[in-house]
Amino acid sequence: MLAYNHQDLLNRECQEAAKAAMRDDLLTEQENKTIQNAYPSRLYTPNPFLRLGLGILTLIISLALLGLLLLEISSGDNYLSVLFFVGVISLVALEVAIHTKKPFQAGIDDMLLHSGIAYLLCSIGFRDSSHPALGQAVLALLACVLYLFAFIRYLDRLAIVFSVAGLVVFLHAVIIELWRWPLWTFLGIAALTMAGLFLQVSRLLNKRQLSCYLPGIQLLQYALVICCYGCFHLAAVENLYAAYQGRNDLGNPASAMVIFYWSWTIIFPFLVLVRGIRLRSRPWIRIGIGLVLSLLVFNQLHEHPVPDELAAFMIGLLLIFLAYSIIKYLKTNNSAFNDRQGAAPGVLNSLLPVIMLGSLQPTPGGHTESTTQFGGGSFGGGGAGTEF
Amino acid sequence: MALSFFESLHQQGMIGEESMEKIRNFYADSSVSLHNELRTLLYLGVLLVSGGLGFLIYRHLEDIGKLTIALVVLLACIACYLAALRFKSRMRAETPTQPVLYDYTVLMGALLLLTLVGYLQSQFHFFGHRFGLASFIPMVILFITAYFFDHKGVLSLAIVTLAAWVGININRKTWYGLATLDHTATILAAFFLGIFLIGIAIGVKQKNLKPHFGSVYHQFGTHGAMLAANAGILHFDKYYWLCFLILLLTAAFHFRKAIRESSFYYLVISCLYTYFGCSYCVINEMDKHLHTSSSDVLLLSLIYLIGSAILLAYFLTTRYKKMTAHVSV
Repeated sequence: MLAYNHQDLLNRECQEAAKAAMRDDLLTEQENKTIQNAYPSRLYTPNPFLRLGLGILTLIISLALLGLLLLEISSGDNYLSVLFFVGVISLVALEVAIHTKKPFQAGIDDMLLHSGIAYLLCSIGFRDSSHPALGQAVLALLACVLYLFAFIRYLDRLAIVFSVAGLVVFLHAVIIELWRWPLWTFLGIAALTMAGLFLQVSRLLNKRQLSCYLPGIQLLQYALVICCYGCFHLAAVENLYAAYQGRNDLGNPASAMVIFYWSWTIIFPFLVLVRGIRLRSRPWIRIGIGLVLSLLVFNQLHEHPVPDELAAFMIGLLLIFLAYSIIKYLKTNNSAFNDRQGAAPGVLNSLLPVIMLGSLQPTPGGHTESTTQFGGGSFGGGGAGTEF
Repeated sequence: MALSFFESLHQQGMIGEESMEKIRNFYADSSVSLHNELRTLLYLGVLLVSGGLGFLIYRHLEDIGKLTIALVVLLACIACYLAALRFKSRMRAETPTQPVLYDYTVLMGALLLLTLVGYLQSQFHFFGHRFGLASFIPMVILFITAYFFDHKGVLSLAIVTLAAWVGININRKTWYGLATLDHTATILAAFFLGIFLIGIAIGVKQKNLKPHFGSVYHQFGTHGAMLAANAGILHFDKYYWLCFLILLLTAAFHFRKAIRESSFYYLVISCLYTYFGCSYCVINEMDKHLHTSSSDVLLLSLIYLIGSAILLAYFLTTRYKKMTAHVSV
């Protein structure tokens, strides 16, 4: 299912780990070169600026091709077929590029994938439908499936986030537009779906055969947690409003909802933060901080205890005080955390689980002599293949 | 887990004993850095305080009074500068490390200075109709602040104020923010300012006058000059070839810089700016000289765009290969 060679991906991660270690003065240049030679990767991953440039040029080519084909047709209805055709062409071009030049996070592959899916979805979404709600649901489900496929086949991390968004839109279209249920039921079902998915996805983390998907799975987890929190919070708020306005068919669950609202809104962000601190996981700490900040924002939006500008001023002062106090504390005390610049352990620790799960071994026949040709192929450098 | 990976490389002879010892020490300290997270919170706090305070004053303008507001902002600005001076003297006397709040205090002081000048001009017409003076004085103070406190953020503010002084305005009239980029005066001002800033960047590096400021000057200069050259190509009917020539010269200079310094950033931006200018010229010439229907010109233009973009992508990738062949990872 994976479009790329598994060994190439693992070797690339190993190369990245060696480069990160060299940047932090843990390895010499010679040792780094030896590791690059021992773990050659044929994938082409250029510098981020070049990735951006190649992405822009690919988009220009794609749009010009679309314009060219649209110019050639005269009938008004055919433009959807052209969109579909260009979408298919983009995905075929992506497959051909991967099998010949092996671009991985090179700008070309990113742009071909996302523009291809966008054209396909537009070609279906722009069709006149006798049942718009059903059409919206089908389109959202298709987007969810296509982006999930894109993640599984091309390891595109953005695709997995889009896939979750597609799922939420699908639930919205079915529950609100088709079934005409109240908003809070959609939010509650969406939150439960996210929570269920989170539990299922957590089981995939230690699967050896899925080691290459690890960064994407982690990102998916974060997206699911954020979605779950937001949906449950909004569901509770909506239910409270419905109960207060007598719109709720379930009687008067306001008191229970009030307790749930407060406990969920206040306790859950701190639980995530505590989990991050206990696991010493920077991503979880970041999500925890984000959720605590959203707690303050939600509180201001719904309860409106003070004017907005005063709230901004007070929250700002609180953040400065908290951040400054923690920095001062970390500078003078030994703890599980520090305030040092340059998070080398973070980079290395984020790369190495992939390698360790994949049980990497040096590639037989990999270059071991010390030459400048270290990236695989005939030229070397940054994991780039020579043919590109 | 990560350490065992490096240990296995060590056992295979890929990592020497000295490096392995460094790696062991590195992993012996298992603490996690929260540097970026805490700095983000601090920055967010500064933004919320300054933004919240601004709106608070705006909402209660009638209650507080203009003079009181001006005095409060002035006092806050002076307090920030005094605090920054105190931090600076402490840095010299006690320890070479920078206090945590040093950067933020200098930045806050500079932002308050701009707010104060703007407020004085809008409410009291402090500089009368001499609008140039209203941007010149804060510009000078900001440059002095940037050099005295060695602050790149304030230097960026000073350069933006310099651009305002020469007549380049940023506002919400157009989606790209530059309302008068289709005016001859603005295009010329932006171009000459860009060239001037590039010259300054080269000068500070050669004379060793805070050479680390060179990159900031160069960034602003490059984008200013190349954007102005592209705007000139679009704007001037008769002399757009001259603008194209200037664009080519500027791009050639930056291309050489990219090769010399192995900078992929300058390689990409010099190629992309030139590509946009060149594409406009080619399409414009086709439109003028090919005596065919507009749909044929459009067709040829699209074919040109596809072909030229493929060629440029090929050029960038081959150049990247050559550059990385000489650069160590």
